[in-house]
Amino acid sequence: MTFVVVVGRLVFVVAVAVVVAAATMVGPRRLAETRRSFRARFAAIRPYVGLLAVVLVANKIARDVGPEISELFGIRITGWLRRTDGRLLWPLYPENTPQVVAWVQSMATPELTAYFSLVYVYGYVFLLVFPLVAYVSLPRPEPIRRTLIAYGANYLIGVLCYVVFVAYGPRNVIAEQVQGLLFTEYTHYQFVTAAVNDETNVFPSLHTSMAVTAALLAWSTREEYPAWVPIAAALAVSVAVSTVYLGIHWATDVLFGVVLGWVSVAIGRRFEGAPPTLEGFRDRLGAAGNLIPGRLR
Amino acid sequence: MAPDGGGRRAFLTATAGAVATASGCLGEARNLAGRAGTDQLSLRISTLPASHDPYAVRIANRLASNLERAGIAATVDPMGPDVLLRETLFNHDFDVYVARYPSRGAPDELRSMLYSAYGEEAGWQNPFGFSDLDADGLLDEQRAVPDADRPGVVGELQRRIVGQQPFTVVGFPDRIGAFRDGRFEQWPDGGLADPTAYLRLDREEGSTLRLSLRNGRITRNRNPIAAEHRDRGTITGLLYEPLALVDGGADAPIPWLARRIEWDSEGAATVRLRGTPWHDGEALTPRDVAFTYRFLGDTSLGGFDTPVSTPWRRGRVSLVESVEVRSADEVRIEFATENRTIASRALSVPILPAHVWRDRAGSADIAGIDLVRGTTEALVTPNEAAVGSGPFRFEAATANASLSLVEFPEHFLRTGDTDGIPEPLSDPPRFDRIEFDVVPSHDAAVQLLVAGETDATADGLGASVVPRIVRSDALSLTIDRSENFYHVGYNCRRSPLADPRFRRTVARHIDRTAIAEAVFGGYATPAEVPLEDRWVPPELEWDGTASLPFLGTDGELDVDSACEAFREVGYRYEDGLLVRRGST
Repeated sequence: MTFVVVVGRLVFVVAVAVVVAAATMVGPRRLAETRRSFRARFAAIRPYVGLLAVVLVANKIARDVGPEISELFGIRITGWLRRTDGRLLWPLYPENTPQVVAWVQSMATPELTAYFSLVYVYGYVFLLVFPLVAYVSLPRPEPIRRTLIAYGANYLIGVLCYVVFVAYGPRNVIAEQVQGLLFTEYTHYQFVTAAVNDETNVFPSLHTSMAVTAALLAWSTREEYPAWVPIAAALAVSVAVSTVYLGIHWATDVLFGVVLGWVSVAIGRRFEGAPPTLEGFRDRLGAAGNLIPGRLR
Repeated sequence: MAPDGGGRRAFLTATAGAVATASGCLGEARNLAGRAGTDQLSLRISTLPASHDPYAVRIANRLASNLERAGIAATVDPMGPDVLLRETLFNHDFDVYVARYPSRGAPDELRSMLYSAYGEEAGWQNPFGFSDLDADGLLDEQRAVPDADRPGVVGELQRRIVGQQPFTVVGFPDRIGAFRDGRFEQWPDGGLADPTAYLRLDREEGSTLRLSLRNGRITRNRNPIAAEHRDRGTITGLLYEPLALVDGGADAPIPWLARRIEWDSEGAATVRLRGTPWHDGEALTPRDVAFTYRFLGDTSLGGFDTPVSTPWRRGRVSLVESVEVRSADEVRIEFATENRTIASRALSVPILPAHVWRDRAGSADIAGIDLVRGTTEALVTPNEAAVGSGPFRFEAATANASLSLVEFPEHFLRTGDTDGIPEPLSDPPRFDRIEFDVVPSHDAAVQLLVAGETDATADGLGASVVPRIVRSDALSLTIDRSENFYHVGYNCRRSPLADPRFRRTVARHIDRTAIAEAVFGGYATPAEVPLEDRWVPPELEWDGTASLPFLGTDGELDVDSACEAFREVGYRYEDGLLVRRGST
C-alpha cells in the first residue's frame, strides 16, 4: 500500500510540474507544432528510442542479477571512499579533517531536510523528465537524440560501476556521525528507493550524474530554452548536494558522478548525428588497433 | 596482513637490484630494500552495514578508530549479512569481524565455537581457527560431568576464553520488538524470537499474521542448514521441526515430533514418533530421523574423503553417536555424553525428509564458497520449495520482497495428537497465514506498523526507533534480554592475531560501558563472557571494569598507554606507527 501511494503521489506531482513547465517554457505554439509533426519527429529519433529501451532492459537485468554478481566478484571500496572523503576538506580544516557528509549534516535544519528530501525524490525525477518533453518539442532532432544517448550512457556506465564496485554509503558506515536523514525523517520514500536501487549501488552517484547531464544539456539548448538553464542548474546542484546531505552518498561518489555526467553528454554529442552502431564500434576498435606499432601486434 | 606489502617489497627489491648492478652502491640498495621490509600493520574489520545491524558497524568504527590511534591501520569493511558469514565462516577470509553470535545460551555451544578439531570445518564451528589444549580439555569435560559440576567447569572454561581471547565479548543487546495492538495478543517479551512464540499468539481478529522482516535472506534461501543464511533459524523453525523442543526457556525437553522419549540406564533414548506427514504428503518415518543425523554428520553420506558436516547446529549433531531404527515408529539414539541435559540438545536439530535430501549429497561446485575443501549440494541448495513437517508450509516467496506461509492442516497440532505438549503450545495456531514483508530499514518497519499494514516485527529492532514506537498510540514496545551477544572475532590463523598477547591488547581497545551507552543507547548489558546468569563465575560478572581493562577512560583511549601495551608484548613502533618486519 505505502509503496503504491508514494509512487502515485510522485507520478502525479511530477506530471503536474511537467505540464506547468511545458506550458510556460515550451509554450503552446511549439506544443501544437509538435502534435502536428509528431510522426516525422518520432521517425527522426526512433533508433535512439530503441537504443534507450535496450539500455533500460539491460539495466533492469543488470540490477536484478548485478548485486549477486558483485557480491561474489565485486571490489569492495567502502574503506577507500571513506578515507578519500575524510581528506577532501583538508584545505579548510588541516587539523582534524571532518568527513564531508558529517560536515554538511552539521548544518542541517528541518527545513533543509525537507527541501533536500523533496529535491532528491521529486526534483530529480522532474529534472530528468522535463527535458524529454522540451526537446521533443524542438524542430531539430539533435537535442532529444543527445539526451537519449546521454541518459543511456549514464545508466550503462553507472550500472557497470555498480557491478564492479561494492560500496556502502555513509549512512551505513559512519553511522555514529551521519544520519540517513531521508529514511529516518521521510521513511516512506525508502519503499521507492529500495525498489529501484540496491544499497550497495553507491559509487558513483547516478543521481548526480543524471542531474549534471540534464544541466549540461540545458546549457546546450540555452537559445531555445533560456529560462530552463538556471532552473536546471539550481536543481542539479540541489540534487548533488542532497545525496550528500541525506547521508546516501560520499562526496567522492558525487565527484565521480559529475565526471560521469559530463562524459555522458560528450557521448551524447558524439552520436547525435547518427546513432552508434556495432560496425562503428568495430571500426573504432580497429583504428585503435592500428595505432599500435606493427611489430608489437 | 597488508595485501600490497609483499608486492611492493618485491618491486623495491627488484628495483634495488637493478640500481645495485648499475651503480654498484650495494650498501645503499640493501638499506633501501631492508627499510621497505617494515610496513605499518593493517587490519581489516569486517562487519555489517548499519541498515542491517545498527550496532555492529558502530562497534567496529570505535574499535577501528582506537586501533588507528594506537598506530594500526584499521579499515572497517561493511558487507551484507550472507556475505559476511560466508567470508568468515566458510572462506575464513577475514582479519577481525564484529557481529552478533546467534546464541541459545547453552554452554555446550562454546564447544562448536572453539573446539580445535573444528578449525578446518566450515560454519559456526571454530571460525577463529583457535586451538588451545586446555580449552579443548574443558570443552570435553563440561560434556562429561554431571549437571552439578558443570558450572565449575564452564566457569573455568570462560576464564580460559577471557585469558586467550579467541573472540572478545562486547555485550548482550536487548531484543526490541514492536507490535500493533488489537489484532493479536499474547505477544512474547522481546518479540517473536522462537518458533514457539508464533504458536503462543492469540487472535482477536483476522486470520493472517502480517509481519515485517528486515533480513530478507529467507525469501531467497530456505535451507535450514545454510549457516550463512540462518541466525537462530526462527522462521525455518516453522517449516522444519525437531524431535523435541529444548530452547525457549523450557526446563525439560518438550516432545515434539517425538510422542514419547524414554531414557534407559545406558543413557540412550528411545524415541517414538507421532506420525505426522511431510508437507508433500509422504509419511515422516524413523528412517527420516536416522537419515537426518547421519546426513548432518556428513552431508556427503560417505561420498567424500573427509566428512562434510552441517555448518549449522554442528555441536548438537556431534552429541549423537548412533541412531537405530527399531520399528515403524521408533528409533533408539545413543549419545556421546551421559549427561541427559546435554544429550537432549541433540534432539533439537531440524529433521529433514530423506526423500528430498538424499539426492543432495553430491558435490556442488557453485562459485562463492571456497571449493578447495569440497562442498555438498546440501549446503548450497537454496531449498526454495522447502518441504518440511512444521505447522506452516511454504506457499510463495518473492526474492527480497515477501514470503507467505500457510497453515498445514495435517499437522499434529491440527489433528489433536498433542500428548506431552503443555498448554498453550498444544493448541492449533490461531491464524492460517503468515505474510512476511521485507522492509529496507527498521524505520520502515515501524512506518508499516503505524500505517496498520503489519501486525508486528519478525526480527529485532534497533534502539534508534524506540522513540518512534513509543510516540505511536497504536503500537506497543516490548523488550527482553537476549542470549545473543556482540563479539569481536579474530582470525587466529593469521599473524599477529595468532598471538594471544596481541589479541588481549586489541581487546583492551574496547570500552564496553561507553559502547552500551553510545552505541546501544542503553539497550544492552556489557559483558566479557559469552554466557549469562548461573554460568558466569563471580569474578567475571560485569562490575563496570573488564578483567582486561580498557586502555583509557570514559570511552576515550589513552594513546600512550595503548602504544605502551603493544610495546610490552613485543610490538615495535616507528614514527607512531605499529610496524611489522616484512609481511607474514
